[in-house]
Amino acid sequence: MGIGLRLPLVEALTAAPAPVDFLEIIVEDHVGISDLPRQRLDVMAARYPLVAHGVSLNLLGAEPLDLEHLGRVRALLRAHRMPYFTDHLCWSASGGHRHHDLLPAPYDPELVPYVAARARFVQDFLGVPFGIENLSSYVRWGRDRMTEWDFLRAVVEASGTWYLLDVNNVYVSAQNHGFDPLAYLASVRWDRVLQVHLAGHLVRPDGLRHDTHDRAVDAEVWALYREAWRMGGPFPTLIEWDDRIPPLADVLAEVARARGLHAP
Amino acid sequence: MTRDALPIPPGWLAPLQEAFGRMLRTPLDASTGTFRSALAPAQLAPDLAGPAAGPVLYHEQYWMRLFGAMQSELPRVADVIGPWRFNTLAALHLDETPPVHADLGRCADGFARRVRGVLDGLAGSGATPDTRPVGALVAAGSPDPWVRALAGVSAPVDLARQALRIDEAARLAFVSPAEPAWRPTPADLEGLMERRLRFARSFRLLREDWALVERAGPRPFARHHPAWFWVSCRTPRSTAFRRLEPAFAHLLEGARLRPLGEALAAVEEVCPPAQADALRRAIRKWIGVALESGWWVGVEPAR
Repeated sequence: MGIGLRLPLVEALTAAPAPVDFLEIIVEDHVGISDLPRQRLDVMAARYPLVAHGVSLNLLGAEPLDLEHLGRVRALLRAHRMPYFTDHLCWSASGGHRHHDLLPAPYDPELVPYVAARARFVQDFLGVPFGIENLSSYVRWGRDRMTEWDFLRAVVEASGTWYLLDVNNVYVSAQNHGFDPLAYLASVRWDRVLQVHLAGHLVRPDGLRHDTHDRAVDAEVWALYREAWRMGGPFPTLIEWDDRIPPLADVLAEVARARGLHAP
Repeated sequence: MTRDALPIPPGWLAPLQEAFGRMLRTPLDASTGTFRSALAPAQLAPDLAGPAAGPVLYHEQYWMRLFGAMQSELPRVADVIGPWRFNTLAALHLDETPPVHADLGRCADGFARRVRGVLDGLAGSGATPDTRPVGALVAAGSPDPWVRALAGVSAPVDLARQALRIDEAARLAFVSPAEPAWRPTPADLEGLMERRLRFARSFRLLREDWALVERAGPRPFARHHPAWFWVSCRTPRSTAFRRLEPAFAHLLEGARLRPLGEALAAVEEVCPPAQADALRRAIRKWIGVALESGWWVGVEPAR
């Protein structure tokens, strides 16, 4: 069980060992111009195992992969012996512009070989297993010809890469687009799951579910997580809390809750 | 496999994503006093399906994330001119220069320079202190949206300028690499007064007439009498603001332009005779502080 390493939690995580098995870092927070975040990471790496998560790979983008960025990620992975890298089944840049968001692309079979080749390239370039995370989405495309879960599975199988399964994202997208989240889980190649994410989301007045990571995990997501564990557990699980971050004790309470669900 | 050997994307992918990107970058509607998505049908990316609220969510999320990042990068400027006007200026900046870096914070690159240019255009570079409210300098019906966005700003011109300088100094300290500590040899110290010192690249000497650096007080900003002085600089493992005695600031200011001995003489010249001994003792301490803090990284070659 792990939690996301976020700045407001650093002091408490440094002051005393927290009952977590690993911390997940956002690589973009540590590969910028300033070396100060990397120095802080050295301190955390001496206390906790780290895994690496990205938000700007642009895997489904039409633009070439950013080798300079990937090179910095590789250096970071090696510096802290991080065992794998994960990023999203999305695009985030176009026309030379960075959108700083995780955007869905059409699930079209024509796109599978293109994305799979890029995913395999990333895995080979980094030299560690690469896990692809399903995302929360708020639009679909007229070009969609496959379900998201079939698309993701096709990419994982064609590329020899892995899943990062975000159970909250499965639930949020299922509610927004009207599919059965259990059908999603049933499609997962559990032998290829590197890690699972859990997070809180907002239900807006218009009914849309928004993946805000600013609150505790929803009861329905816990139920889906229990089902995921029944289908494919055990797997490393991470609690993500990125906004309105509470004291560490509250984040750890979510970790304890997940551990409780694993008990027979 | 090399990147060049990767397959090319299907022909429809780039136009689809560029249309979606253009939709995201469409400025929000601020006419109702709040930033909201008001996309006309022609501005919606084609081929979208799913909930009607979806494009609105992405559109507003794009801008709100960037507004948040820019306020984090320039927190004092946002405090001084207020979040609404700050976001109005940020929207103009982001419309002119959309983000191109994976590092979100870099979306603010160039913003402080642009705002300073607008302030200089409004206020000129007359004598300080310029305590005229920024908003009072804005002519009704100005054609420049950057100028119009400052209408109603009650903060004095110098307060806005100081906020810009302090936020820029903090950003510079964060992104600057730590420079190797300079440990002068006895020979260096012996000749120190005759040499011009080299300052760390991140070193910035800051004057503060309003309590801005520590951001402790609520608006309106408390005013110092007399002014306070600070150094902002990268340290080996962090960044730091350090408050200085006015005479120390005077010395550092002078030492940037001429040999340390000449800068010191200028400070002594304005020192009341009764405080001359105290000044000489303080100088020894100040030299130690500057060296320990990494503000000086060497001396310029002898002329």
